[in-house]
Formats: sequence, structure tokens, C-alpha cells
Amino acid sequence: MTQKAPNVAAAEKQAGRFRDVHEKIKSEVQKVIVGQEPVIDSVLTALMVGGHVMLEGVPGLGKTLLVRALGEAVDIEFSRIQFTPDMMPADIQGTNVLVEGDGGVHEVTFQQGPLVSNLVLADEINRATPKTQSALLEAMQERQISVGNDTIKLEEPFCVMATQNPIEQEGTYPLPEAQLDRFLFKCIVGYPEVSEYNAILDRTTGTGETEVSHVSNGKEIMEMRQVVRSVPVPAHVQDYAIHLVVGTQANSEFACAHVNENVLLGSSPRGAQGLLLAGKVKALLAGRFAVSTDDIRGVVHEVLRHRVMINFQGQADGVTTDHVIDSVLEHVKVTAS
Amino acid sequence: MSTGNLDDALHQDLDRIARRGADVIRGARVHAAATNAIDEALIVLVAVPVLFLLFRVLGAGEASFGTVAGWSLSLAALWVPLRAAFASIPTVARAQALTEVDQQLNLADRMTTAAEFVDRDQTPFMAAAVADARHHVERAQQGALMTGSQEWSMSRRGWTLLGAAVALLLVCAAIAPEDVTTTPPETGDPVVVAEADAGSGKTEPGTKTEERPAKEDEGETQPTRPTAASSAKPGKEQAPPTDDVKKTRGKTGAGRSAEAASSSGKGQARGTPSTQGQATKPAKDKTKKKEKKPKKKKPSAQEPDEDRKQEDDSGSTTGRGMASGSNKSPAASEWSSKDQVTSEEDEDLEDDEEVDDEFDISEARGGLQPQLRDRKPPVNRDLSIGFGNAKNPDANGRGGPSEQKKSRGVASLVLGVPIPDHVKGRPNPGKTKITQERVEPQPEDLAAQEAKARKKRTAPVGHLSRPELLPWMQDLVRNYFETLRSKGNQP
Repeated sequence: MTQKAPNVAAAEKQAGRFRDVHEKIKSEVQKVIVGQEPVIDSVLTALMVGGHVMLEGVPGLGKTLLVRALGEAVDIEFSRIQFTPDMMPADIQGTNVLVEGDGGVHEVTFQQGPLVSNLVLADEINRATPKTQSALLEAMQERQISVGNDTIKLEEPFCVMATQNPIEQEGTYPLPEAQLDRFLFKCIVGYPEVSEYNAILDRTTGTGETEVSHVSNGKEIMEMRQVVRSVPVPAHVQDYAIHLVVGTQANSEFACAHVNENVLLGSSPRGAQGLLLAGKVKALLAGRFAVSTDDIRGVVHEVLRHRVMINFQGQADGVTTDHVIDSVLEHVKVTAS
Repeated sequence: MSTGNLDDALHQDLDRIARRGADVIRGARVHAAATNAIDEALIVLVAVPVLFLLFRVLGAGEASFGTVAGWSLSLAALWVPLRAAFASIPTVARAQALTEVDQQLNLADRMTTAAEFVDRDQTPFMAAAVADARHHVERAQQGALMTGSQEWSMSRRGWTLLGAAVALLLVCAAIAPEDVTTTPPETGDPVVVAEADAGSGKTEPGTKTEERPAKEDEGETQPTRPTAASSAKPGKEQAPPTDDVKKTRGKTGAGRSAEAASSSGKGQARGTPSTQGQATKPAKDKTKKKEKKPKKKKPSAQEPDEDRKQEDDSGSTTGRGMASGSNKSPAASEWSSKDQVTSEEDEDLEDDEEVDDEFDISEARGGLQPQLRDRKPPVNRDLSIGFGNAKNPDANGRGGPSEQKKSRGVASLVLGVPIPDHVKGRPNPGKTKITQERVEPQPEDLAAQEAKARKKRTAPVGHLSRPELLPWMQDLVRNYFETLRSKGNQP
């Protein structure tokens, strides 16, 4: 892999292609989604690195539309699961059903559920029971589902994009920590800017329909994932990411007083993995060939905010995970040796 | 140009950039160290006078104000450059220096990354990162780097320490003995000169205010009483200014210490009311003496006049406090009034009610150290009449019967507490008779009473309530008893 006379041009070409693909997909998505550029970037980043995304926002902000548009922009199989309280794991994974074959022979065959897809929109995921939510665990981490004696390998790229509503908590089931940890990003979808309302209304209340065309495909996405993983991470940047993750763990070496007082559970090593992967995409999009600490800082909120649990005292004091991450960013300094 | 040459050139460039970054970090360290050192120097400024005061309170030794101030200032002044020098000694790691440059110039870690990748087997992306860094080397070499915040502002704690240091130095200046060694040679022996002036009525301000009242007291009221103030008598005044003399002068300068010893014998922190009033004067004059230190070295005939003029001009409560404190204190009972002398200054004063307050104010202005006051025994709140004609050993004049009553308030209103009559300027002209008797509780024998059965009641019971019965109840009771009687009282 390493060579004494490296081909800089090849790296530059790969990075340039990555930016082109990213830009094409983003442009298509932005045909239907007005504004929300950071959210679009995060969703595309997750797609490029093979991560899953949790989109949280009040109703009507285009969360579902964003994922649908992404599924249309990239020529991959897209499925949508509307989570409801009475949904069972078999409803999303699939189950064995008795099928009558030729000649009146009956046999049990596996009927796959909507989870067997490339891009899965898990809409209002917190409305399903933990039992059904947990059915996603294996799919999200192992990229496979096990039903009975069958194990089905999910086709790459596989990406789960879940949405949830921060209000209307009645009748909902908060996601277990194990499941939350499997999401690369948790994006907060906010209200659009005032200047964006005109465009939203023009696009949605007129007669014309916006069509999103395929500008990429699964194979290209997989190639982009390889490009992302080729981006090197300097030692001091990796140390910085580790220190940030450890800094979210109460009473750890890099934890500040704010963390010690308000954090019940800090980030797992998956947080550090997410920081580096997302940082690589950030570096490529910035035209650089190595990850910098600025890239890590740019994604730290999306990567770590759902991996930190605030304790009772912190909740009583109104401390949020973003506050904690801010304090960690302030406390942990870049150390190069 | 080959890759190897490019890498060598980049190495050199990175070395230069690292040196720039190291200079910046070192400068920031020095700046931070100097900033911290200033706060620490202020602590030194406070600590040295505190130690001086502590030693003085413990009687472990005395030092002149010049010595204290000199040590404080020189230690504080030396501390800052020393800390700054030590802060610049540690070496700065190359990567750390490059990171500093990257952060200051927003280079997105390009220099640090290039320094790491240039020596490794490079992947295409590593090589691309190094090549990318070459494009920013010039910017890293020429970009303006900030050493850090060049503005220095003293923290609130620093200001507090500075204020405390100044206050403590003032206190030291007020209570420190005369620094004979710092006296300019042309004044000769300052002790002799000052005390000779005191005898001739043209004393140098500080010396005059310290010694004149004591002499007047002794001469007019208790000429034969041996007091500490007698150490300032002419016989001893002629003694050479040895260390013993300096010490004696220091105590005499304190004024009320000597008077306290003569009147109550309670130690030098306490004094009779009359001497307290007099003590305020030296305290005030000490402040003036400190302010006019250069002039003090060359005594002239004009100085006392100027000093007196300042006293007149001020018309301040300090002067009034001194006088009224001496004569009109409510505590000026017959045994304490013997020490008092009515001077002309005292007769000018009319305000009787502000004696203690003004005394406190003048004490504060005089810079008397609070530690001396703290050494007083705790205030006795015992208001009982328990010592007969004997002195209350705990008497401190702050409540209860005591010989040094000088407070107002509830304690003064308790019967049996001597309250002197006041005729304008003359404390307690009449005779106050105090009768105090102490009765110790005596144990008595008392036969124990044994428990008995209660006797039959002989006295009328009194009114008993008889609830009214309803008619059917009355009928029921009537029928019951009629039936009972008809059966020969057999139920």
C-alpha cells in the first residue's frame, strides 16, 4: 500500500471525485429541501462512511422528505418503515411464511421485511416498542438479520436513517443506549430561516413538481467509502479525538468538573470511530488530504450528543449534552508531541 | 527537483516554523508566568508585614519600617523576573510549536501533519497532505503570530492584595519603632534631639504627642506613681540611643501602653479612659509623622506650629475624640479620674456621646494594629453583683460592674454600676457609693417527704355542673328508682 514515490495525483483525483459525487447528490437533495445544509451534509457524510443517522426535529421540517430525496438521488433500494406501537420485529425483519409452490407443495420460505434494503427510513422510531427497536440492532451493527435459522446478509450500502419527534412523548419509547450508540450522527433539525420560507412555499404550493433524478448509485457510494477510509489521520488528531471521547466520561483523566457533575454515562469507543470517520469526510470536502483537529471539532456535536447521558442532577439543572460537549471542547486541548 | 530534495527543503522550512512557534509559546509562558508572579509578589508584599506584626505581637523581635518595607518590596520585585526567567527555560517540543503556528494561522494542522508524514512511508493521501502543506509554508513563515494577550490587568484578588499590602505597610509604619539607623547623619542623635525638644516645649511632632500627656499626668495628679511612662523621664532621656532605649521609646511612643500599666495594670493593650484619650493623639500624629518623614529628619521650630495648624485646620473629630475621650468618658469613675487631667484642649469639647466612636475612628486613623485589640480578654457579660468592693478580675469595661466602665448601653443602666455624674468637663465630682454584696448560695438540709394517701376532702367541693336531662331521661331515671324502691331496693 505504502510506496516511496507516492502518486499524489491519484489521491488528488480520488478526493476530487469524492467532492464531485458529494456535490451532485447534495444538489439533487437541495432541489426538494430548502436550507438545512448542515443536516444534508451530515446525512451525506453518514452515507459516505457507512453510518446511520438519527434526525430529531418537530413535525413538518422535512426530515422524511430529506431521506426520501436522498433515496431517490442515489440509485439504491429505498424503504420506509413507519414505526407504530403495535409493530413487531417480524414486521420489519421479515418472517417465514407458508407458501404453496408448484404442484401444490407447501413450503416455508422467508418473506423479507422492509429492513432488507439499502436505505431504510425508520420514521418515528421511538413510537415502536423496545422489542421492535431492538430488531434493528443487529442490522445496524452487523449488517445482517437473523430470523429463525436464517441469517440474511444485508446488501451494502446499508444505511438506516431514523427520525423522531422531541415532543409528543406520550406513547413513545425512548431508544435504548445500545441502539443510540449505533447511530453515527444525531442531527437536530431546526426551523428554516425566514429567507427560506419563500422558496419552501413556492416549491410546495405551486403546480410544478420537483423531480429528483439518480445522480449516483450504490457502487459509487461504496467507492467513496474506500476513498474516505484512505484519508490518513495524524497522531495528534487521533489523540485529540480520543481525549474528547474520554473527556465525556465522568471522573476520567480528561473529564472536566462540568462532566463529573452532570454526566451519568460518557461516550463509548464508537464515538471516537465516528469522530475520525466523519472528520475524514470533512477533510475531503475542505480540500485537504488529512484530518485536522478542526474537522474533529466540526463533527463532535453530531457524533457525541446522543452518546452522553446526563444524570439526574444535570437534568434538573437543565444541562444538555451539547453543553457537556462544549465544556469538553473547552477543557481538552490539542497536544502534539 | 526530486522528492528527497523537496522533503529536505520542507524539513528546513518546518524547523524554521517550529522555531517561530517555540518563540511564541515561550513568550506566552513568560507572559503568563509574569502575570502569575505579580499576584504572588503581592502575596509576598502582604506576608512580610504580617510576619513583622506577628513577631511584634509575640515579642520575638522588632524591625524598623524601613526594614519591613525594604524586604517586602525587594522580594516582590525580585520574584517577577525570577518566575519569568524560569518559565522560559523549558524547551518546546517541535510538534507543539508547529501546532501553535497551525492554530494561530488557521492552517488546519497542515504543518504538524506534514512534519509527521514527511518522514514516514507515505500513502498517496499522505504525500498529498505533505504537498498541500508545502503550499502553506510561506504563509506559516511570514504570518503574524501573537504571543498572547499583551494586555495585563490586575485581578480583583490582586487589587485586594495590593490594598491589604498597603494597609499592612501603613500599620507597620505606624507601630514600628524609630529607625535610628536610617536617620541622616546631620541630625546627630535623633533621640536626644527629639526628647530635648520635648523638654523645651518645642518637640518634634511625633515625640511631643507621645510624651507630653504622660508627663502632665504625672506632674499634676500622680507625681509619685511609678509608670512605664517614667521611662521617658529626663534621666533616661539623656541615655544614649542604644537598643534598650529604642525599645523603651517604642513603648512610650505607643503612649497608652504605659498609661494602661499605670492605671489598671492590665497590660499594654488596655488603658484607663484618660490615657486612651491621650493615646489617640499619638496615633494620629504617627500618621502625620509617617507622611512627613523627610521633614522629621531635620527638626525645625516651624514644624510644631505647622503641625498644630494642621490639627486646628482639620477641626476633625479626631481631635475632639482625643479630648473627650480623656475627660468625659462615662467610665471615668473616681478611681480612674485620678489619672485624668483637664487640659485646655479638653475644655473645648462638648460632645459627650461620641466618645467611644470617635476613639475608634481615631484609632483606625492612627493605624493601630487590630491584633492588639484582639488580645483583650473576652467581653464579660456577667451582670451579677458578685465581687463586693473587690475588683472584678475580669473587668474590661465592656459590661458588668467594673472599674473601667466606659461603655454606654444597657450595661450602664443596671443598678449598682457606677455611673459618674457629668458636670461639664469634670467627671464624677460627687461621691458614688457602691454597695455590693456577694451572697454565696448555702446548702440546707431538708427532710424528704414521703408519699401519702390523699386525705378525705373536707372543704366544699364547689359548684358541680349538672347537665340537664331530657324529659324522657328524667322519666327513665324516675321510673328506675321508683321500681327500685318498690322492690325494697333490690335491683
